[in-house]
Amino acid sequence: MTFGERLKAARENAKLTQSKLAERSGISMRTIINWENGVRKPSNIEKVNQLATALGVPVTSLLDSSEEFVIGIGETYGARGRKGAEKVLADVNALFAGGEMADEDLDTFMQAVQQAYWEVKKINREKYTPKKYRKEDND
Amino acid sequence: MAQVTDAISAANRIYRTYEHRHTERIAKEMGILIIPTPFKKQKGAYKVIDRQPIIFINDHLHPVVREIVFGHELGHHLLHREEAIRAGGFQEFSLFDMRENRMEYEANLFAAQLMLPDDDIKELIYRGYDVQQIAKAMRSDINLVAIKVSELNRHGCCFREQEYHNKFLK
Repeated sequence: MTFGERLKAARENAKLTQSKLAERSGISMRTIINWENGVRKPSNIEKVNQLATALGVPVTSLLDSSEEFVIGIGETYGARGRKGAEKVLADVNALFAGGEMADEDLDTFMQAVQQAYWEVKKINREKYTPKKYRKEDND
Repeated sequence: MAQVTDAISAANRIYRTYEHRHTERIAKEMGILIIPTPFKKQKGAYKVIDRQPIIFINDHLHPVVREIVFGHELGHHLLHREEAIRAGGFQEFSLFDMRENRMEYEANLFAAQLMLPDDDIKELIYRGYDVQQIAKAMRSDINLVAIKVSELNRHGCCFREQEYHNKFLK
């Protein structure tokens, strides 16, 4: 299940319409519709928190760990970082899909790749940021 | 696609540069990111993310196997980086399963050349050691030694070759 599908299920479970949920959570109805349909994905974990609170469910029931990871990367490194993160996860899935790899190691590898991605982003920020931009970046 | 001689010369070059044969240390000194990973079966993986090469290493391997996995992944890093980027990465399930993949053989050959010095191997052979005894004496793996011996033979030495098992580490 994706974030959108889980959101829709949780909303229906709470017997709320999209507009009612918008009212309660402070997230616009347009945003909720786009998220449920998978047209867009949340770029900010805070908004998902607001939704979860309004629905009375834990935020982890709406997001799986890789979605949470992608949002986290996006918050720190912007849309390009996010795209990169999505691509890396898709690559790993593809790598496993064809191989003889045990399923039990897929999750482990996914976690490790996410950890690696954070570290790589940090290394590359130090390595490739030109000196004159460095101060703003190292917050 | 890298050639067999590339694997040998890459290994020799690395030894000249780093002046030791500890593969994990070499990986660190080359700036490869090392991520210890609690795999159940998989031994390791090599992947490049945003130009940064990464070795994922199963964190409960026997130290001898661990060094060999690092040697093997270093081989991929030096010989097959482009292929790894295109394929999304390499995952090592059984290191010595080389039936279908030339790159796996080259990575093993690289590891053998880097980790097993010619002189030591020859000396043990002259003393009458067989492949298994050499592997034990050099704290290595029988398959790696067998690869090394067949490579020495290719260069005109005449040692009795030992079949190595393709799926040994499985």
